[in-house]
Amino acid sequence: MQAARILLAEDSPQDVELTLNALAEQNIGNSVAVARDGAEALDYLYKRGKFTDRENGNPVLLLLDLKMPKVDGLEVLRTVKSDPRLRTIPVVVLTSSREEQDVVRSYELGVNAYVVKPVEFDKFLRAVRDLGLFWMLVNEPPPGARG
Amino acid sequence: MAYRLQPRSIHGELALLVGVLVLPFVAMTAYLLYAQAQRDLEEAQAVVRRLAESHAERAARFVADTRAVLQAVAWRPLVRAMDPARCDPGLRELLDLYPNAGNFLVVGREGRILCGAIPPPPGRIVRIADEALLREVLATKSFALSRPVVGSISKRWTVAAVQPVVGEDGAVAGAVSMSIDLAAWGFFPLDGGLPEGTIVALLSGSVVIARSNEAAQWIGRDVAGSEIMSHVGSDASGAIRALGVTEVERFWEFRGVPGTAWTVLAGLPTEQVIGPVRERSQKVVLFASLAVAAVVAVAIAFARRLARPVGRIAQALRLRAAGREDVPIPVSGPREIAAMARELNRGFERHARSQQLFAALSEVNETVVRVGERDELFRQVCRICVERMHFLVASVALIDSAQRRIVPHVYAGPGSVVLRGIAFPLDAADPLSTTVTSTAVRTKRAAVANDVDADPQKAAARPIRERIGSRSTASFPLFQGGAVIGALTVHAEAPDFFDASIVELLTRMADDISFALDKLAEEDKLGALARELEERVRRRTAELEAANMELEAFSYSVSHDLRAPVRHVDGFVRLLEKELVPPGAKVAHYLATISAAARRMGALIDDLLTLSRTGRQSLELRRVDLGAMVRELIRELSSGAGERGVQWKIDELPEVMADASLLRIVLHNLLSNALKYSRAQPLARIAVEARATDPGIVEITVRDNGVGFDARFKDKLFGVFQRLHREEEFEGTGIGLATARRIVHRHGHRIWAAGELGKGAAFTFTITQAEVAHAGSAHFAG
Repeated sequence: MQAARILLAEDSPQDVELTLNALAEQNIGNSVAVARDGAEALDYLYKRGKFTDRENGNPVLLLLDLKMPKVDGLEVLRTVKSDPRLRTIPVVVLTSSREEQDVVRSYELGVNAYVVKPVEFDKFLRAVRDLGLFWMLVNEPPPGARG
Repeated sequence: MAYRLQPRSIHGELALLVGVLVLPFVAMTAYLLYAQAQRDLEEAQAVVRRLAESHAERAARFVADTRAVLQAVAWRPLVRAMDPARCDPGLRELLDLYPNAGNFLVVGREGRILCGAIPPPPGRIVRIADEALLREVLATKSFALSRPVVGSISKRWTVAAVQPVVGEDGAVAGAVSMSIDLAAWGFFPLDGGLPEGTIVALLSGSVVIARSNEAAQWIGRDVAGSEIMSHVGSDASGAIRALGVTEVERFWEFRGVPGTAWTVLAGLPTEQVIGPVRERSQKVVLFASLAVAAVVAVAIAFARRLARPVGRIAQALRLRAAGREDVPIPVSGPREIAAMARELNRGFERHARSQQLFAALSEVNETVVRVGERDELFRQVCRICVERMHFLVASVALIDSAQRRIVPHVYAGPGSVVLRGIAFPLDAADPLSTTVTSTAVRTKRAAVANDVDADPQKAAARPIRERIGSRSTASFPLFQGGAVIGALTVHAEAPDFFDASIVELLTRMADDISFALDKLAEEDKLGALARELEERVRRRTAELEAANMELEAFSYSVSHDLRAPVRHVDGFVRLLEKELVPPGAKVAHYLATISAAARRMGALIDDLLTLSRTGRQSLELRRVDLGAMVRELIRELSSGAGERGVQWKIDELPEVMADASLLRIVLHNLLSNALKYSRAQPLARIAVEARATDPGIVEITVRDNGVGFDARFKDKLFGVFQRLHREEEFEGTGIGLATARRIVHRHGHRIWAAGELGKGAAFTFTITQAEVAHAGSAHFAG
C-alpha cells in the first residue's frame, strides 16, 4: 500500500465522499487515505491493525473530524501532538462544529488550523481546495485573536 | 522624724533596732571598762604611795637610830679622848652589833682618822672622805649624813653618818662617823617583799644609795638627768607618771626623808597596770564585738526571714503587674506574711474567676447573637460553662409537661453522661424534686445548694452528685414568652462556690439565654418563611441549570449533527448537477431550489446557534474601541456589497465597556441590515451616531435611508423568526435582531427601533461608556 500524502479521518461517508470529490478536483484525491474513526486514524499513524502493511512515512497533512466514534478527534489530536514522531504533521480540524469550546480545546492541543465545514458545497469545495494548497487561508483564528 | 518620713527596708529597720539596742550595751561596757581601769590605776598609785611612805619612815627611823648610836659612841670616854694611840675597843663590838655599819671611825678635827673599828692601815695618815661634811658637823655641832662617797679605807660606796664629839673640855674635839657600806646595806630585804615589778630606791640628792633590786648596778649612780628627777628636785613628796633612767614609764611616788637629803622613790611600771587593763579591755571588746556580731547576725537572719517572703511577694506582684498573671504569690515566712500572701492569692483568684466568669458571660452574649438555633445555643452555653467557667458539668433541662418532669436536654462536662436517662419530677412530693433543677423550675428563681453534703434535703440527688464529683450546685430557670421552659444547672467542684456575685452573674446569663429564646422564637416564624422561599429559589435554580445544561448539549448536537445533512444535501445536489450535463431547465430549477433551501436551513441553524450562545456565554466586559470595531465591520461588509454607492457617516465613537465578541454581533447585525434594506436606493446613506444621555451611558444609533418598516409592527422586529418582509425581497432568517436584543439586554441596556415605510429605519441601543482615560476626549457628545 502506497503511503498517502493526506490522511482523512472522517466517520460520515457523505463527508468522505464530498471531501474526496473536492480533493479529486485538485488532482490529489488518489493520495488520500481514509480512516473511518479515531481509532483507525491512530492505527494508520502507528502502522497497526489493518494498516500494518502500509509504507513507512507520515502523511503530510491530517484532516481530522472532531465527532467520531470510538476515539474522537480531540483525542487523536492530543496523541499526535504529544508524540515526538508525529508532532510535526500539520493537523487541520475539519468539522461542522462552530462551538467555541471545541475551537479552544483544539488550539490548546496544538492544532495547526480549524476549518468549519461550510454548508454550501461551493464554499466547502473551495475550503478543501485551499486546504490542499494553503490551508491557512480559511482557518478560524484562535478565539480572542480578532478582538 | 526622718525615720518616719523616709521609710526604709526591713533590713534598715532592723539595723536601726539593733543599733538602738547595742549602743547602750557598748556604752555601758565602755564605762565599766573605764571605771575599772580607773580603779586599777588608783590602786596602783596607792601601792606605790604606801611603798614610798613606809620606806621613807624606815629611812627616817634608820637615820634616827644611827644618830642615837653615834651620840652614844660620842659620849664614850675613850672616844672623847681623841687619842690615836688608845682606840676604843668598844668600836669593834659596835660593828658586830650594827650589821648595817661598815665601820665606826673616830676623826680628828682636822679630818685625820684617829682610829676605827676597822683601823686604818698603820704608818699612814688616812683622812675622812667627806671633809666638807666634817667641817659642817664641827661647825654646827650636829649630826649630819654625808653624800655617797667612795670610802677612804674600804674603797667602796659609802655614806657616812657623822656626829660631833665633845671633848672633856666641852669643846668639839672631833667627830665619830659610822660609814654605811651601801653594797652591803640591808635597807631593802633581799626578797624585797614588794609587788612584782615595783622598784623602791633611796636617793641621796640624785645619787642612788639603795635600791630594792639590782642594787649592785645602781648604787652610786647619779640619776639626775632622768625625767623623774626633774620633779623630785622641787618637791619633798609627790606622785607622778614619768620615765625613769631606764626609760621605762612608771607611776612614781616620792617622799623626802626629814632632816636628810634623802628621798624615797617607789615606782610601778605603768605597763604593769595598763597592760592588764588593756588586755581586759581587749577581751571585753572582743566579747562585746562577738556579742554584737551575733546579735547582728541573728538580726540579719530575722530580717531575711521577714524580708525574703516579703521580697518574694513583691517580686511576684511586680511580675503580675508586668502581665504575668499566672504567677502565684508565694506563701512563706512568718504567719502574718504567709497569711497576707494567701489573702492576696485568694483575692487574685477571685479576681481571675470573676474575670473568667465575665468573659464567659460575654461569650454567652456573643453566642446568643450568633447562634440561630435553640439546641445549638444550649450546647454552646453548656460548653462555655464547662470550658470557660470550669464547671464540672453544665446542663440545660427542659420541662416535659406531659410527664410532669424535667429532662436534661443538653449537657456538657466529663461527668455529664450520668444525666442521660435521668428526669427530675415537678411534683413536690417526689424526693428528687428537692434538686436545684426542680426547685429552680418550680420557684422560677435561682436555686443554690452550696454544701450539698450537709443538706439532708438534697440526699436524694446524692448519687448523681457523687458521680459528677460536685460539692455545690446551682440552677437558674429559663423562660420563653414569660413561661418557665426549663433550667440551666451547673455543678462546681468546690463547696460554697456560689456566692452572691456568682449567682447574680449566672442569673444574668440565664436571663440572656431567655432573651435569646424569645428572639429565636420570633426568628423561627420569619425564618421558616424565608427558608421555604430560599428552598424554592434553590430548586428553581437547579432546574434552570439542568435545563441550561440540556440546552447546551442540544445546541452542540444541533451544531454538529443538524448542519451535516444540510451540508450533504447541498453538496450532493452540486455533484448531481455536474453529472447531468447539461441539465434540463426544470431540473436545474429544482436543483437550485433544493440547494437554496439547504443553504437557508444552514443559515437558520447558524443564526439559532448564535442566538442560543449569546444567552449562555458569560460576559467578559472590557474596554472596546467602538469606532475601530465599526470601521472594521464596514470594511468587511462592503467587500460583499458590490459596487453600489453607499455614503457612510460615522460619528466620533467612544470607548465602551462591553463584551467585544457579542457587541460585534450586535453591530454586525445592525450594519448588515442597514446595507440590506437600503440596497434599492440609488445612493444608500447609512449613519452611525453616538449621543451621551445619562452620565456614563451612550446611545448608539444606526440609521439608514432604506425601505423602512411599518411603525405599527416595530415591536415584532425583535422577535425570533419575525420578519416584516418577504424572503424573496430580503433574504434573512429573522433571528439577527432577536440576537442583538438579547445581547444588549444581557449588558443591562435597551435597544429600540424607529422607522416608517419607505423612509428608512433607525436602530438605537444604549451601552456603558468606558471611563474617560483623559479629559477632553468626549467630543462625540455634540
